[in-house]
Amino acid sequence: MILATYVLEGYAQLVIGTDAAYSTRYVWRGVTRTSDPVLQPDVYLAFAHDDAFLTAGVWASFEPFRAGETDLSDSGVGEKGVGELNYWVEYARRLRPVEFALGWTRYMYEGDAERGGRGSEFNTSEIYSRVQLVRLPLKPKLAVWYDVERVKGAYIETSLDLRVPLLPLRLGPLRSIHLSGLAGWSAGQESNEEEPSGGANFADPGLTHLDLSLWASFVLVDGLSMAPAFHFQVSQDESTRRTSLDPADADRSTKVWFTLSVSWSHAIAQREDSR
Amino acid sequence: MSGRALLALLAALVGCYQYAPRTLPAPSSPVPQPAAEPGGLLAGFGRADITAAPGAGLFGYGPEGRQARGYRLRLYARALVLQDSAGERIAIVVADLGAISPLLHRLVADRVVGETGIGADRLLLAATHTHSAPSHFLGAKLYNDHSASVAGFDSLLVEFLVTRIAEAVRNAADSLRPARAAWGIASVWGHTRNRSYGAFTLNDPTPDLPTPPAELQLDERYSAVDPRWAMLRVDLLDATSGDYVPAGALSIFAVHGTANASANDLLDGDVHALVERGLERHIDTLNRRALGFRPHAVHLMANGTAGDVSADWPADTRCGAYSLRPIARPAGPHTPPEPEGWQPPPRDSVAACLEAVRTYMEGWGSSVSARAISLFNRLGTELRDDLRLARAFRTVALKGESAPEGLCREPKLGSATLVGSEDGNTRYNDWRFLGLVPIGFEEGNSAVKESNRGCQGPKRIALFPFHDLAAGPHGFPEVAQFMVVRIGSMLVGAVPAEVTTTAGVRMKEAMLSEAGGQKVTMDSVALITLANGHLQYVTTREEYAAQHYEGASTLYGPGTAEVFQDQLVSLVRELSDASVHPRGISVGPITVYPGKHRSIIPPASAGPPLERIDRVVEELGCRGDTLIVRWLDAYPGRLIPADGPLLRIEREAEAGRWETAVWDDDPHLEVRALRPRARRGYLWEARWRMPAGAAGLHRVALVARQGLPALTGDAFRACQGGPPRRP
Repeated sequence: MILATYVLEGYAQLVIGTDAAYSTRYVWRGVTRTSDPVLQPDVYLAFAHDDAFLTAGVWASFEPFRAGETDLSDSGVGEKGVGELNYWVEYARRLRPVEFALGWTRYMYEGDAERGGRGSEFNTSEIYSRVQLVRLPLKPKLAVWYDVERVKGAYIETSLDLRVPLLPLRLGPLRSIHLSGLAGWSAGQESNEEEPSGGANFADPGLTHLDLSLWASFVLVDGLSMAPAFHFQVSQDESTRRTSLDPADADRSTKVWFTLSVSWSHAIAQREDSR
Repeated sequence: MSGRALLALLAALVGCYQYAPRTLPAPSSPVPQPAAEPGGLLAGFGRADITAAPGAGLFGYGPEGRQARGYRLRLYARALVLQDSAGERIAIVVADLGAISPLLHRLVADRVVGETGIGADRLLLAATHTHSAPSHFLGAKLYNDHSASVAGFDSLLVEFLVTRIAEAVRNAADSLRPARAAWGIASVWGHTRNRSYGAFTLNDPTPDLPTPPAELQLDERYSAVDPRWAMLRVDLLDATSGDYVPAGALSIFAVHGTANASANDLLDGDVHALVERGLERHIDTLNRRALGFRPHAVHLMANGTAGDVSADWPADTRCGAYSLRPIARPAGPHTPPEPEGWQPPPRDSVAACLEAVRTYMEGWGSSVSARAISLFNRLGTELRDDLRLARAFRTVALKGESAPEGLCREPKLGSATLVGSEDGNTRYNDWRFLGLVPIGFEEGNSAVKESNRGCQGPKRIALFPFHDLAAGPHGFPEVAQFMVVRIGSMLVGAVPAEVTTTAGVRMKEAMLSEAGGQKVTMDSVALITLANGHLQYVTTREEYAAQHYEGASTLYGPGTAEVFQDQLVSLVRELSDASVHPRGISVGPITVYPGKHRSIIPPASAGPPLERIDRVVEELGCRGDTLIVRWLDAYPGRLIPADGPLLRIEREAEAGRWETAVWDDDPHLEVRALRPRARRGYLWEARWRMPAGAAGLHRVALVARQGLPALTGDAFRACQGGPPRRP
C-alpha cells in the first residue's frame, strides 16, 4: 500500500519485466541439473526509486524434452515439463561505486522423485546477498547464499568481470563483450558425515568449480535486450563433475554450455520529470 | 568500375545515399549607381528573431549534443547594411547559429535581391558559431546527419531561417540613413585560450601576434590567440534632433561558441549573445531608451579566427560525454546481466555542471561586454561619414577538374574528428580496440599515420577502409564562397570555415601584402569566419601534421589554408581593379547535397487548433531561489518563440503597479516545452533563478499571441532558497 502510494505520488516507478533463457543444459552452482536443454522464464514486478529496486518475481525451469535413461533431469527420467519453480524477492541498491543486493528465494521442485527427479523433499529457502564494485576495470563480485531450511549452510561465489570494448560506433547493438571468471565455494552446503540425513548440494567443502564465461548483453530495441553466454567449467567437487547418469560421465573435469537470454522490461508508471 | 565506385553504387541502390541534390539560385547584385545628389555613408540595422520551436538537434557537439527542449537567450539574425556615396552597398548579417550553409546564403540573397539590390556577392552572412542553435539546414548530408544527435535535413527549418534572415536584411536596407562610422581595435586578453596548443607550437614561423601585458601573467595557452577585437561603430542621423546618435556596431572577435556544455538542452546564443546584448543595452542606455523585451540598438558579433580558440571555461563547466554503462533495471537471482547502452552522465553532476556553466558565462559576458563598451565609447570621437565600400566575391569548386591546385581531390575526415575537441570530447574519445589497441580515436598520437603517402598526408582516415562508403560521393561540402569587402580603411575577408589562429594570421598578412599599396597595417585587416558556408576547419600545414581535432577536420588536405589564402589575395587584387567586373560580379549557380527532407522541427499544424487550447497556469513552485512555473499553451510549432515574447515575470513596484522583472530572453530564465496534455494543449515550463535580494510580490504574465489571449497569474512571494514549496 505504501509502495503503491509512492508510485501514485510520482516518487517511484513501477516496472514490469520478463526474461527467458534457453540453455543447452541447466547448470546450477556448477552442478549439472539437466543434461538436455531447458527454457527458464522469469516474470517480475519492481518498485524503482532512484537507484534502488525492490523486486518480486517467479522463475521456472522448464524441460521441454523427455529425459532419457542416462540424462540428468529435475523432472525425472521419461518426464518433461516444469522441474523447478522459484519465488523470489530482492532489494538492490546502487551506491556507486558499489552495488549490493539482499534477497530471499523459495525453491520448489515439481519432479518425480521415484524417477530420479527432484520432488518436494528438496524444497527449501535461501537468503542471499551480493556486492560488486562497478567502477574498476575488473569488476569483482562477492555473493553469499545461505540455505535456511533444508541444507542450513552457505554457498559463496567470487567472480571477476572484464569488459572488452569493441568498436564504439553505432554499427550495431553489440559494443563490448565480457570475460568473466567465477569460483564457487561450499561453506556448509556439503555433505555432513555427522548428519548424513541432512540435505547437501555438494560433496565436499571448499572450491566446487571454476566457471569461465564469454558473454555479451545488448539492447535490441528500447526495453528489449539479449544476452548470449558461453560457459567453460572446470569442476572440482564430485557433484559438479557429473554430467549425466552414464557412469562414463560421472567424473568429468570440464564441461561447456551455452545460454541465450532475452529480456524485456517496461516502466508502467513513469516518474514525473523533476529536472 | 573501381571498387569504391562499386560500393558507392551498391549503397546508392539500397538507398543509403539520398542526397537530394539542390541547385541553388545565383542572385547577382546590380552594378552600383551613384546617388543623384552627392552624400556620405548610409547605414541601417535590422534584426530578426530566429528562435525556432523546440525539437531540433543542437549543432556542433555531434552525438553528445542534446535535442533542443526550449530556449534561454533567444537567437537573432542581426543585419547591417552600408551604402557609400558611389552607390556601393554591402549587407553584413551575423546570425546566432552554429554555421552558415550556402543554402541559407543563396536563398536569402535570392529573397532580397529584387528589393534591396543585395545579391549573393553583396551579402556576407556569418554565424556566431554558438553550439546551442539548431542543425538540419546545412548544405552537406553528412553535416545534417552527424553534427547533432538528431539526424536529418529539414527544409521547413531552412524556410524558417531564410524568411527571417531575409526580413532582417530588408529591415536594415529599408532603414538606411545618413551615418557616421569608425573602426577600432582593442586587444582582449585573458578570456580566450588556444585549445590546440600542441599543434599551435609546431608552426614555423610562429605567428606575429600581439604580446599580452606582462602584468597579466597569462599562461602560454592564453597568449596563443589573436586577441584583437575589431569593431565598427555606427551612429545614425536622428531625424528628430538632427544629431548622429549611437545605433549599433559590428564586432569581429575570435572565440568558439562553446561555453555552453554539450549537456545543454536549450537554444541559446552562448557568450556571443551576452556580449551582443551587453553592448546593445549600453547603447540603448546612452540613447535613454527604456530597456524592454528587445534592445533597440543592434550589435553584430562575428567570429574571427577561432578555429583553435575557446573561451577560458573552467573544467567544471564540461559535463562529460555519454558512456557505455549497464542500463539499470530490476534484477533477481536469475535475471541475465544488464545490457549496456550509451547513457548520459549522472543527472546530479550534470545539473551542477550546468549551474557552473551559467555562472561562468555570466562572468564572461559581463567582463567582455565591458571591454566592448569601452571600445565602442572610444570610437565616438573618430566617426566619419566618408567611408567607401568595395567588395569582391567568388565561388570556388573544391572537387573536380576546376578545383584549385593544392586541394586533395576527395575530402576526407581524420579519425581525430570523431573524438571532438576538448570543448566537447565525444564518447569515442580514447577508445581503443579491445580496450588495448589505439586506432586513432584521440588527438595526435595514433591519429597520425606517418606512413600515409596520399594527398591527405599523415591524416589517419576516419573509419578506414569504410570512410568513402560511409561518406558517399557527396557527403561533404563541394563548394566554397569567398568574399573580401573593404569598409573604409578595413579589409575584411570572409571564409566559409573555422580558421585557426596561425592560419588566420598568415591569410591576413598575405591580404595586407597584396594591399600594400594602400598602406594598410595589421590593424586594418580582419577575417570573418564561418561565413557564407561551412566546411569545418582550416589549419596550417604544420598544425595539420599534428592531427589534432582541427587538423583532422581539415577536409581537403594540408594545403587548404594556402589555397584559401590565395583566394583571398586574389579577391583583394580584384578590389583594387575596378576593370575586373565592369558589369558587376557574376554569381554562378551551385549545387548542394543536403539530403532528403525529414520533419524535425514541429510544423505549424502540430497539436490541436489554438481555439481548443486551454491556456492556463498549472503549477507554480520554488526550488531554492528558482521559480518554476508550468502552464498549458499551444503545441511547439504552432507556438514559435521567434514570433514574439512568450512570457514575462512582473514584480509589484508599489501597490497595484507592476513592472517587468524579466522577459523570456534572459540568462537566468529558461523556457522548455515539456510534454503534451491530451487535447488540452502542451505543457510548458519556465525556470527563473531570481536575483539575490528579490522580495515582494511577483506574478507571471503570458503575453497575448495570435489566437491566444494574454493571461496573468496569481501574485506570489519571491523564492528565497530553502526546500521546494509553493510561493
